[in-house]
Amino acid sequence: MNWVGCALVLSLLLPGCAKDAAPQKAAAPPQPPPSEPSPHAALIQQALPLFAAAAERQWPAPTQGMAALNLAMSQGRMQRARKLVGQELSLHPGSAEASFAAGVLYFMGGAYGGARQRFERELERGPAFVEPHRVFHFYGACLLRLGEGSLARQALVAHLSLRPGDPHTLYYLGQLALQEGQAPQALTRFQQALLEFERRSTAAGGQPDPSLAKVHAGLGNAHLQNGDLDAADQAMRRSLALDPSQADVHYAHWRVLLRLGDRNAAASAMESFERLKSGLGGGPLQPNQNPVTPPFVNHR
Amino acid sequence: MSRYAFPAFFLLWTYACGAPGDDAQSASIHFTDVTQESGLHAHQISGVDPPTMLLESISTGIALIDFDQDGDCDVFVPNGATIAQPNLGPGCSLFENLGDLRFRDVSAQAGIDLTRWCYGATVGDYDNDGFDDIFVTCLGENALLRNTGKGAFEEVGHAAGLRGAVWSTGSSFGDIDNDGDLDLYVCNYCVLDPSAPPPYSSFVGVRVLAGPMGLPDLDDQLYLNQGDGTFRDISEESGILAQPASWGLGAVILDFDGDHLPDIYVGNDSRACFLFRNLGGARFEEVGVFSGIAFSEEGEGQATMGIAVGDVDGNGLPDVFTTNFMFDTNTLHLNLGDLLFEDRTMAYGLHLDSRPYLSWATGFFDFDHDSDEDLIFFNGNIYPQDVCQARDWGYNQPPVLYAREADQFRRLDASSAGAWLDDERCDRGTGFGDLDGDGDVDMVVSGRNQAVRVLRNDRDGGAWLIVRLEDPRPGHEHSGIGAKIKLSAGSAVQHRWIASGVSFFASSAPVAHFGLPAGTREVALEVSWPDGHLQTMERVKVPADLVVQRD
Repeated sequence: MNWVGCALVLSLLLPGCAKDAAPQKAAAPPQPPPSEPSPHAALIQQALPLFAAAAERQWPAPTQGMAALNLAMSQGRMQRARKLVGQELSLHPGSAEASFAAGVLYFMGGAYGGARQRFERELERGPAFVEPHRVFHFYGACLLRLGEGSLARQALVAHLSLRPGDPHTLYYLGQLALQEGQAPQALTRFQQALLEFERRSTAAGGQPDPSLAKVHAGLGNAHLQNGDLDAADQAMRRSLALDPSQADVHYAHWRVLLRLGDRNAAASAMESFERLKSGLGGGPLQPNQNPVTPPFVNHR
Repeated sequence: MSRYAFPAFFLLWTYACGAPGDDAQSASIHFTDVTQESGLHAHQISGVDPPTMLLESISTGIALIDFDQDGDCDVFVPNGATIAQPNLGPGCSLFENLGDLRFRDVSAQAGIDLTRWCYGATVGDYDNDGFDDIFVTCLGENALLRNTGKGAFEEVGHAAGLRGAVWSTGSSFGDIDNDGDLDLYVCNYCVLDPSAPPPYSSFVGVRVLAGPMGLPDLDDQLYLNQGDGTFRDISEESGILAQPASWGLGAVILDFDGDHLPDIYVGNDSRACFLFRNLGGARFEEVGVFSGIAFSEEGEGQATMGIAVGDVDGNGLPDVFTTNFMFDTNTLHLNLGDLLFEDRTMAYGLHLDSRPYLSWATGFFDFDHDSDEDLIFFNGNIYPQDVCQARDWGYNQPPVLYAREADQFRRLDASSAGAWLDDERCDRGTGFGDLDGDGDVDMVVSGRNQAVRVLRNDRDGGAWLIVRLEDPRPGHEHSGIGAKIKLSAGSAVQHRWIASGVSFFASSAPVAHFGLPAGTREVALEVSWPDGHLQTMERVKVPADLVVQRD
């Protein structure tokens, strides 16, 4: 879960968590590509209209076990969630929602193959629990981790068509573009996600969304990939102001500062990174003895 | 075959294959598996199936060596053993290249009698007698196979002062003190006693083989060649032991900052990689973290199995590509100069494709002779087949091949590059070299509990130049390991390094291979020898297999 903080995942996991999202309009399914789609792409295309049609459907209240499972996951108590999902699936082997939750737990634990199977099963089954659109989001996120960029984009775009402006999905699309080396597209997606999070934050009385730190970091990485070091520096500072516990962002910030030639700030960023990542190995860090001297690192 | 004349002061001999102009077809990459007809039939063993210990899963590499000095690549095949009999495996083997991609097993007459559990093989002429020798990492005592020059080898590791650790993995030859002979860096992995297997570990919630995390790590070893056929362990005095031990898998001795003092890059499993900056006088300081090469872009330690070196951004400095564990990504670190590296994996389109694969050998080579280096990596899981199948991880995995296109690498599929690219195996090491003398780069691939295979490059276009260095001075290593070669064709410039320790547990032909646009007739060369001596050559005719003798 390096790229995506747990908060970013959990915030979309639970039903009802996105009530302040933009008004839902089930958009038309994406146009089929000109060539024959792969079986998985076809699965997305076939499932999308069914899930779109289910947007207004009323769903029964979750079982007691499912409610407890949702609570455990929202609290980040993954061990308890794993136990509860096992119990729920034992009691209700055909429970689509429990199966989906199991997929999310697989995903969060890094077992992407198992997660993928669960999400594909739900797409084949069709909408069967409240806010079924979430399956597309997690399927796309899972495919991204499995390196299937094209299919991940289809799933994430499908989710956006069901939940227009969803900032979590926009964030993942930003990550996808970033990982494909498409910095301009990544910037666009991250900026869209940022605007949407800010809009929601305003609607919620100014409380910043915990995912904002990751979006700023994504923006910083996109600026870095684009060669705009000042913008990368600013975005990473904003990210770290919101959440200073992100070791990966301190590391990225160190790289930016080094290239900007700000040796003292770079040493400080490295110190933070090392403090947060203690135990990685590689020997004692001695910033004052850094052999990489500044004159050649200012690549602007 | 014709022969071109060159100024004799720098050129010993050349082979030229094919008349200029016969290569006008468009460039493309295509390989064919020719193992069956090649006669190179070797089955590598690494434990049993299913494996119960990491010892069995890492498996063995491969080495290309011109042991008989007839100008072609012969093949040394290291072999493993089993936990039940760790010192009594089927043994290593040596295959002589007969030409036309035909090989014959000459192990017996060459005196190859090494049945301990072997892993990596690194080639270099450590005793400066003009014949390449082989250093083999093992479980227990490592082996040094000295080439007698009479078509045979003798094992002299202990006599040469090389001491094995518990489990050695990758290694690299290089002249760290610029005294003309090859010194040796040996990576050591972890403490694992076959008679007392550690308890199982966990990977994404699945019970898997233990290690390296949770197992004791081992210090690496740096040996200084004393010039008399022996080595002295200078690990302590050189400064490399100032670092805590790690789980070393591979090393490359190369001048990364252009100061003519070879540095040492060490790929450590799951932890920060080392970059030992050469301070001169066989002293080093570790600068990996500060250089930016220790971690991935996310600041994470990676598995770092395979290592490739090439000039991806064309700035004349060696960039480093490493292969990693499944669900992680392989990593491209661009060398910005002065030992500062920048992770640019994503920008070059190398991020997503590697995620499903557990990757090993890798290399930058211009397979299609279009003047830029393409990239390949080979894959295969380490966990038992049933575990992999249950989790949809893929035990056998296909290689991944990219063609370089402008500022990106584009992944190729079997429909264009050949059926071998769909062939899922449990691959490990790869030796790269021109096996059939047609000017392009072929491959010999090792694997776990499977047959070695030979992949022939079916290139159908472009010109080429192969540069072999020859240092005739007594007391000097002959093949220029560590040298940098710059080729200029008009305004286009390419750089290559003759590096030891790249790929994975493997040795490739110690040459610089250049692909060139079809119709190219002449190029200029600049050789920067490991000690900094610069040698330039104008109007070198291509295509050619060129020997450049040090002036």
